[in-house]
Amino acid sequence: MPEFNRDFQLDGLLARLTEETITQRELTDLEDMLDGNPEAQRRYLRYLGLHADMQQALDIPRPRPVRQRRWALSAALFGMVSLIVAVALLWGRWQNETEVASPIARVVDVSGSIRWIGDIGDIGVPKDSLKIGSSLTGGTLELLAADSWTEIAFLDGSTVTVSGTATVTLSEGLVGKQVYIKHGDVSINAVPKPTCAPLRVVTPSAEAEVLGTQFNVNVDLQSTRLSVNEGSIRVVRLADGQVQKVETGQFVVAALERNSAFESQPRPSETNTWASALPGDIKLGHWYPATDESPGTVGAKANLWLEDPDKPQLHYSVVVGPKGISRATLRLSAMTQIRVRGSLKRSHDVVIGFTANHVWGGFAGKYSVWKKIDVNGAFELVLPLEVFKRSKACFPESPVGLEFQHCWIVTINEDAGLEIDSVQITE
Amino acid sequence: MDATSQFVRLWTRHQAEVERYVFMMVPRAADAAEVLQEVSVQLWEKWDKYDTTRPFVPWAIRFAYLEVLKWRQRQAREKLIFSDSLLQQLNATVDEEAPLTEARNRALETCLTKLTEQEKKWVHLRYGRHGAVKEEAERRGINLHKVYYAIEKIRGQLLDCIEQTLRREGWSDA
Repeated sequence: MPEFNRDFQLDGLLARLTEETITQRELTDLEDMLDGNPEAQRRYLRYLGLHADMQQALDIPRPRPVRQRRWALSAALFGMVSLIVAVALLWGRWQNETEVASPIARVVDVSGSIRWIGDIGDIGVPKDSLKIGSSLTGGTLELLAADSWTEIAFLDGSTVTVSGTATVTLSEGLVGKQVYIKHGDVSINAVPKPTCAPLRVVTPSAEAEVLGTQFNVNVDLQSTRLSVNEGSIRVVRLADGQVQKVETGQFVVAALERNSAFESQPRPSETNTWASALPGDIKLGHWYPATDESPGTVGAKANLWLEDPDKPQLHYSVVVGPKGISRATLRLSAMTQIRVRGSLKRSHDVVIGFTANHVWGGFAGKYSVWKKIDVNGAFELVLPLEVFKRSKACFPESPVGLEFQHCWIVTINEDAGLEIDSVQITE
Repeated sequence: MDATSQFVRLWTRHQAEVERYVFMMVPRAADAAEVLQEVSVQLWEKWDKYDTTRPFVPWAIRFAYLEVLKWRQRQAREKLIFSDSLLQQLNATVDEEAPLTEARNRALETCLTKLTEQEKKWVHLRYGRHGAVKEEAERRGINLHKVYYAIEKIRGQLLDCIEQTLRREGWSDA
């Protein structure tokens, strides 16, 4: 029987890998240790498997049935699921002995393809069934499509609105409410309550504490942009611990790259026009660089839409929007036109939509229009604002006066070879 | 049951297992989530080719491996990624490890009960809610690095306990 002599250096690297704090040099060391070494590879898989099992065990709110099979992998996976259930029950029992889970928030509104993964105590709200009025004891929201959105209210009335593809974890503990934004666009309205612990917003690159504030957060893997509409927030850049205070009308960008500027600035003045700068403005899609024959384009990226479990759909989407660090407020007017230029490999229906915020405020609504494009090759659409219809009755009927955030172009259930080479907002 | 309902049922039921595999090959949560999304799309697109008499998970994992390789090619310029050669080796070792997984999971169940109350608490905080470890460390005035080191040690203890349990049970390749 082979015996694995515990390698503390290997375990240290694996720990940093699972905590996502590993450096490039350490990763190279790890790869050197694993390459051609089955023993080390087994340790790697067992370590990461343990980590994944624990993570899933505490993410899964209810047991899931499984089928037994003779095939070895299936049997093994059956064991894994059993473990998840067992560990969930074990931790659930342990948790019940130490603290009672109680609701911390409720769902105000919800639309589109969204997955909800409740914390272990959240048995009342099954995964995949986030409904208006549901009480939540904490967990993670995964918004899977550009036109998904939801509004969640904490019990003190503070609201969190998530729009477009995003992953956001909500929790409330001894030190107060916390919103962890892994990626996506979020508007937060924190109710002023000086005696309470502040609402804490955490992202991969920044941490902010807020009391009585309305602000918007845009998060990707590299940076966080916080833009304050009312009140003030204190932001810590996680890369180096620097702190900035951001007041009404100001924004700050905290990047993981610590050599970049980290300073509160006044928000730039308003504008009514915008032209996409690709690839920088891509929010979803595959970038195809320019060639001698064609400009650079964004190809549609597929995502599985499971809003109605009986009718899964494939959406082939391109999402673009102003992403510049010091972007101006892009206000929509009655004269606004959205110009979309791209190509299709065959004629197809295309959905064009956009998300808008209130100027100096949070999420306002989503608007869209269907267009049949009878073309095999390049097309250009010029769409006046009035052709766009709100996707829910609770949104303002007209987007005139709202702030444009990003737009999406989608074909449904069929990959029609959609590529976009420019989106413009004109008057 | 029609083909669509069957897909949704099987994917919903087995997504966690495929996710576990993807995470072992692509050990950054955000990247693994992206690859998993691509896997779901591929499975749905190829659903009419699925032989319903065959097990779903191995079929899905074959697609997952191909998506891991595609992702690796797309990210080739990024540094924090394993080589194709190592991914291939790990994929082969996953197959070798599969027969042990059920026994390992049973052992883990037992080993978790052997942790001290404090160790259970750290593990629960680490895996239960994002940011909870940091909050607890701040509340108790403990250096965060020490806490993460403690969690690293707990993982090592659990792995050792699992190995010992399997050897006692007579698993020769544990």
